[in-house]
Amino acid sequence: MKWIYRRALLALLSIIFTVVLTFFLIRLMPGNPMDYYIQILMRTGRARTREEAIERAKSLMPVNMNDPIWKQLIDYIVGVMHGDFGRSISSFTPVSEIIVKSLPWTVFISSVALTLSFTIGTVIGLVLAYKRGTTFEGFSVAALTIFGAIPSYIMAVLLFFLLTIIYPIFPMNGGYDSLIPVGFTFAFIASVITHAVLPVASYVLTDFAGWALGIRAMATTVLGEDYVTVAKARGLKESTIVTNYVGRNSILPQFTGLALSIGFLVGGSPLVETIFTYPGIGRFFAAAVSARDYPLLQGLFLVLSITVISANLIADVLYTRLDPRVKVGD
Amino acid sequence: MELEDIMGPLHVLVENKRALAGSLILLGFILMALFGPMIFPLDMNPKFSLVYAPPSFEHPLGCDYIGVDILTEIIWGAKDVLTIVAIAGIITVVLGSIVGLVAGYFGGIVDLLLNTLVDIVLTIPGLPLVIVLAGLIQTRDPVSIGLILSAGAWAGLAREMRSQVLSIKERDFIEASRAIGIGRLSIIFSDVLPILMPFVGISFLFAVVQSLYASVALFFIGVLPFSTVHWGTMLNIAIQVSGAIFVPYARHYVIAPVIFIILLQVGLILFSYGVEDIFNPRLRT
Repeated sequence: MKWIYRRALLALLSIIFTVVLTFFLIRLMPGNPMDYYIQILMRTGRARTREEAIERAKSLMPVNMNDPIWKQLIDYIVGVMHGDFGRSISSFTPVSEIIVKSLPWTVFISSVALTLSFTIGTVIGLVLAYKRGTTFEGFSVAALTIFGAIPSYIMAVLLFFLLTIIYPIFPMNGGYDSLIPVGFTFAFIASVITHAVLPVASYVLTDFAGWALGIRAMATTVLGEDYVTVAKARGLKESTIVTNYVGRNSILPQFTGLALSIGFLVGGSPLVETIFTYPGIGRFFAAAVSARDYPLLQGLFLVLSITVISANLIADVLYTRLDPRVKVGD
Repeated sequence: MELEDIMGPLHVLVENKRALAGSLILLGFILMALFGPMIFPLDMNPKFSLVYAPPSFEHPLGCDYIGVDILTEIIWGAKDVLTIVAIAGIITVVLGSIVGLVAGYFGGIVDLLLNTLVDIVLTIPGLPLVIVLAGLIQTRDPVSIGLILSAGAWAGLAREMRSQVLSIKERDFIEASRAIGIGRLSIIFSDVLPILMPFVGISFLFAVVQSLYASVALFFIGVLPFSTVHWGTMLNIAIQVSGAIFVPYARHYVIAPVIFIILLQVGLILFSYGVEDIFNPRLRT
């Protein structure tokens, strides 16, 4: 029980650390983000006078730039706790609104991708462990190593290039066809799915290899255990041994890996989403960086970090319940 | 060093197919980065007659959106790519090792503070942190880029290093050094560190793999203005800036950096797995 408190305290510390870090990173930069925004407003003619620009800039962040820095920090933390991350410089929408709108898209494609690559990888890995020592296994492991080495965003470029430009089979951008009205219709759902195929494939084609190699290594060790030899001696069917004896025992460490993928689940990949102009959180993240949209960047990074930190805490606690052999503490 | 000391690892390297393939690919890239720029001068002046010229004898990989020879860009880019990942790898390993060694050996309050810091940094998502830092710091200096890239990577190594040190520091010869009054720092660097050098070496390779992934990503989304011939920048220009990806006769321009990025990544991973096999014989299956 004591361990859980320590773990929770650590998560809280991490969240505070991240909040303070994002606050100071943005404040310590050369060139105040507010000055930058005022410049943009004046240059694009969206504000006619300097006073008007300053007035609009003030509503961007829940912080008064003229206050001493400690008061700004406190205001910022209070704002964050109320879900107020300020407004995006480029679109002037509240950051929280952008997050609420984009998060479901990212969670949708990344959870589908994670489920597929985990399942495919586990099956392939178990088969390979059973066929160990054969030429087939050697070639497959080499192929998996190469697939695992390709970054998902490079795979995305290849798929985009091959299947939307050279052979225009899949739609090029967006989360759905904007000509189809949003709703629970067959046409809309089909459009959402066809738009998700390539981003999901970019993740799955590169990630399944890691899962497969991981479970293969684990299953190879388990296959040498005495209880597997005994099961074989008892004349149990091979399929029973693979699923009930080897599979079950080698899959547990895979769940640790799954818990580490939670960050991917909420953050997606800024690059893959940008390549397919997918309306998820990753694309806004990449766009915020290149547009120097600091409030948006700050908000997205914070939400991402807080979700990852809390999810990791939950995963850690669940994991100790799942496997009694896990040593708790240091 | 005796001849056998060198030939021993080399022999295993040749025996291990993964390590052999990886080291040949890496050697090729290193030679390309070291000597390529001397043989092929880079001429960035636009030549409009050569825009998107297809591969030919004079231009084996064709030309880009302003008519510059793509092979020359790739060769000059190799220098930038390798410099950045090497610096990032070194910084990550030095930072991670020092924190891990000090935390593990000193113990007590020092360990508690450093270990908490490591735990905190480990929970912050790595690539987003690197992207945010790069977006804010906007630097062209390779060392600063290396520092940014290592921000998301040093903590994992520090934790592994610490647990290694915890098991080593109870061994007899360390006990002996302590007994004759040798200082703690000198024990750390002359007794503990040498035992961990193979581990540090492998960690360096994995840090390089990670920073290749992250650095190409940074150049690709256009956060870093460091170099115009970095392969990530070439991809950025081919896909997002010039729109070459939509031009049917410019396909070679998109494919060239993609192939070289994949080749280097595969070479690095094969080599690091191979080296891991050599130093951890227990893993050989």
